[in-house]
This record gives sequence, C-alpha cells and structure tokens, in this order.
Amino acid sequence: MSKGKYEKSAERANPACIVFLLDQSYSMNDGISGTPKPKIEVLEAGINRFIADLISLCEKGEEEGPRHYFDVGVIGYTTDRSDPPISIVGPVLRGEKETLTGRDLLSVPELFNDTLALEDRERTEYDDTGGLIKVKVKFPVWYRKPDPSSMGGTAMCRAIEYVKAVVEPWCALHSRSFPPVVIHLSDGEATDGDPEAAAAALKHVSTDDGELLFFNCHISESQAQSVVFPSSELMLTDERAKVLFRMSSELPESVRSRAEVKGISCAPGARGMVFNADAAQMIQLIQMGTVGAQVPTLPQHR
Amino acid sequence: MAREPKKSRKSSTRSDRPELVVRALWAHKQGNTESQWEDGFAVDVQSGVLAVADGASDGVFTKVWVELLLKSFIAAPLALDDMQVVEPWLFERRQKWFATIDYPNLRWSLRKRVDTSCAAATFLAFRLDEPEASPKSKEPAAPHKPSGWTAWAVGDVCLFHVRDNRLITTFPIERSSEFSYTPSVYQSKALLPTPKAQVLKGELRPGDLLLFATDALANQMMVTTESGDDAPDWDRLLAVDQDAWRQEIEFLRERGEMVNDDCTLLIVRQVPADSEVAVASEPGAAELHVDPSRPENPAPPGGTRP
Repeated sequence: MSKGKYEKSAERANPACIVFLLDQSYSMNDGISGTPKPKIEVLEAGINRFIADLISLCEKGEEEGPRHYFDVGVIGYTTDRSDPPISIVGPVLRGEKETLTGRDLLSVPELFNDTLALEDRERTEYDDTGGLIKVKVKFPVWYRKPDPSSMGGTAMCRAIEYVKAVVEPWCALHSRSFPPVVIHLSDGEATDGDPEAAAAALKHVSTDDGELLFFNCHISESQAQSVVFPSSELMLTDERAKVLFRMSSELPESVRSRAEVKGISCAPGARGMVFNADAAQMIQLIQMGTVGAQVPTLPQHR
Repeated sequence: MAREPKKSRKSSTRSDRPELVVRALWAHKQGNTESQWEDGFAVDVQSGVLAVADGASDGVFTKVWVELLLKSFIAAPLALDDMQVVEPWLFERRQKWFATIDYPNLRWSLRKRVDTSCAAATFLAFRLDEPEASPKSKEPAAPHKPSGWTAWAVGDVCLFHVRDNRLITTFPIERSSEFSYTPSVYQSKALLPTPKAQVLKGELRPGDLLLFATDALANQMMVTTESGDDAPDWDRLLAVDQDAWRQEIEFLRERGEMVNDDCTLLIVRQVPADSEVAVASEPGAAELHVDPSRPENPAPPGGTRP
C-alpha cells in the first residue's frame, strides 16, 4: 500500500516531479504488438508528446512563458557490448542550445526554452462545416531514439538505483510537494540482477505528502493478452508480470479517482502497471504522470 | 493596500439609495506574484452593484476572462438566473475573449493549451433593488431605510450577511463541507453546459455588513463560525489593515488551516443614518480591480486604464 495523503497540487511553490526511466536495450528496436513500428519509436513520440502536453498545461497566457509546475527527468539505460557489459545510465533529453544536456531534472520553463527541434506536423480536425481539414501544428522534440549500435543490454537495477539518487535530494528540497512519480518503460527483464529490491528502496523515497509512486510498463512485441492496472497478483500467471506487480506502487485512491475521471479505468487496489502493453496502453501509463500530480486539463477550480 | 473610499458629506441629489461603504482586501496565492492574482472585483457604489470573480487557476488567459465578465456585468447588470439572457451575454463575452487573446499569433504551447482548454471563473454578483417611491408623496425612499437586494452565484464565491456583528446568512454555500474542487464556473469556451445561477434575495439595514469572499477564505470563515469556539468579530474587518490581514492569511496557510489560493474579501456596509456618507467614486462610475499591480488606478467599465 502506498503511504501518504497524495493531495498536493502541482504549483510553483511546491512543484511536482515526473521521471521517466527508458529501456534503451537493443530489443527496443523490434516492432510493438505485432506491428513493424519499433518500440523505441513509439516511446520517442510518446515522450516528446508528453513533455509538450505538460508544458502546455503550465501555460497561463503570460508573456514570460509557461510556469514552473513540474520538474521532469528522462533517464535512459542500457549497457555497452563489452564482456562483462558495463551499465550506461543517464539523462537523455537535449536542446538545440545545449542547456539541457547531462542534467537529470529539468524545469518546465527550461524545457520550453530549449527544444532540439520544432517540427511542422499535420493534424486532422473538423472545420466549422463539419468537414475534415488538415491543420499544421508544431511538434517539439527533446528526445531522439539512440543509434541501434549504442543499444545493448537491460541495466534495469542500476537504472532504478540511479533514479533513487536523483529523486532523494529533490524530495529533501520539496518536502511539501506531491511525491515524485517514476514511470518505467521497458520491454524485457533485467540483465543486471533482481530489480525488486531496487524498486522497494525507490518506493520508500517520500515527501510529506506521500511515498514515491513507481509505475511500470512492459511493452510487448507480440499480441499477447495484456494486463492493465491489475489489483491482485492472483490475476497474473506470467512470472515476469508478477515481478512487475510487486515492483509497482498501488494507485492511491485520490490518483485512482482522478484517473477514472480522465477515462482511465482502474479498480480499487490497482497497481500502476501494464504488462504486454500495446502503443495505446503505453501512452495511457505515460499519462498517469500528470494524473498523479493533479493537473486537470479542463479548468475546474483552485 | 486596501482601497478606502473617501468620506464626504453627501451632496448628491441621488438620495434614493442606501449609501454603501466598500473595502477590499486581497492576497495572492503563495508562490505567485501579485500580478498573478486571478480573482477580481468590480464595484459601482452609486448604483449599488458589485461583482466578484474567482478565476480558475488551471485555466488559460484567466485574467482576461475575469475582467471581461466583471466589466460587462457592472456596465449592464443582468439577471444571471435567466438563461435566455445569460447565454447570449456569455456568447458575446467568449467572442471577445478569443479576439483579445490573439490566437493566430500565440506561441505553440499556448495555442495547444487554448485548443484543449479555456478560462473559467466562479462569479458572484450583487445588486441593490430599485428603491420604491412612496405612492402618496411620490418622494423617493429615504436613504437610510432598509433596502432589498438580489445576489446571483455561479460557483462558490460566498456572500456573508452580518447584522449586529452576528452572521445571519451565507450564500450560496451554507456549510464548509459543501465546498468542492469542481464548483460551477462560467467558461470562456462552451466546453460544459452553462450553469444557471443560484439566486438569493435579502434586506439590507443600516449598519449591516455584507462580506463577499472567494472560496478558500469563505471556507475558512465558515469553519471558524461552525467551530463555535470564538464567534468572529465581523466588525473588525471594517478597520483591519491589509498588511495585518495578509499576515493572518499567511499564518493560516502555514498551519494548513487554509488552502493556498488567491483570496479576496469585499466588505460592504450600509451607512447608519447618523453617519457621514462615503462616496467611493463619482456618480455612475465604477471601480474595477483585476490588476492588483495598479489598484490605485481603477478603470471605468468598458474603458481602459489611462
């Protein structure tokens, strides 16, 4: 059970923290859910879109730009190809001005001020008469998938320990904030040990508002039956899914009810995990980052 | 920082309305700057009309929306429970909001925000009823007689009616437990159905106090009255210094007894019969406050700041 009240809003006095942990092992180049689309490409688009959405959520209409409601980290991990392999873990977001490189946590204004590219894309929407039209939109980029030659093994344990070292000092500085939300996206098993112990230690990191929330997404290359936000280990037959269940935080009631409002269905007692996820389910788990930190997309109040 | 309407011996011939004194206290959300205070209020003392709006902090271009609603209501008060009137009124305000934000020239992140969201505000409006002339003498009603009033509420900005230093009514929220995270709001885009305002009518007597408080403050005031430990000294609010009041707000936030939110309190008193009369502005003019960085420089309704 995740301990805490989990009621703090993301605000400048008490910003929230979202960290993505990205598996950049070689197998991430395989297609997702029986499709030829590489998993790492879906991840790339999902992360960039998430950050763009998050920046937009922090916009108030002020000249000075988006507000600092969030600190964001995207940590990639893999190994080199030596024997024994050496873990490679570190931040992967970059901007054209090189102000982001090598930094584990970045504020929303920092991300807004330094994009790697601002691509023109087309979006289909309805016009005034109900017809479909193509509209040009800007698509900002901070994360590029790594070159396959630099993608090796799955240094998951080392990566979880790395994130713990990133969020612990953040919590010390932000004791009144909503606790960090860490979202781990991977397609495989750890090649550097048992990740359960590292996950347990990570989940003990806390702010006054509650313990860190650790969500895990296992991305599938097959079309096997997926398991989304299970509430009991008894529902699972796959041993890897059971490990993921034990690693993942239970969704606090306040987070769970907000997820339901956003159309993400999860039963009481559900864990923040998806096993054998397809692209849509992976995006859904990514969205849990902001569901946790209370930023509704439609203005309510306060 | 509170605006103190200057007192003067009444000289106007507009003696048919009760005379009102209005004070305003406000405090921005901790972590924000003063200019990011997203409440607003507008007062036309001579006409006995006022409104308070509380902009939703998760909206976009909220201050623009708050200002549009306030200016418009004060310039031409309307019955907010009459949807036949309210819908076209809001439609026009929404068009103006969209024109004001200059959508085509917004940066990508703001465009994206406006594409999926909007501004929103809770709203409490108040108007003294038209005085009834004496049927025999055709003389206007005496200025210090009781007067009827009407209040309209969308959301949870609250009105507290105090008589003889005792609370007699709160509106539209009656108990602190009724506050929620999702009050009714007027939105700058019709993403949700327009809420119908709740209405309350009352009677204002000489010496009465009317307090208009945005939600975090109203909630805390209700909790205090419900606890029954110390009956609040409402009259104290007539004189409390804004800096001292802000320190109290800060203290309550630090103790976790008040949500960290923008706070606004309008204190309206009907002048007792034997008092000097307060005139806050020239007849027909109004005070509008949506930009706390320049509270000393109010704009007339429909006008712009000099």
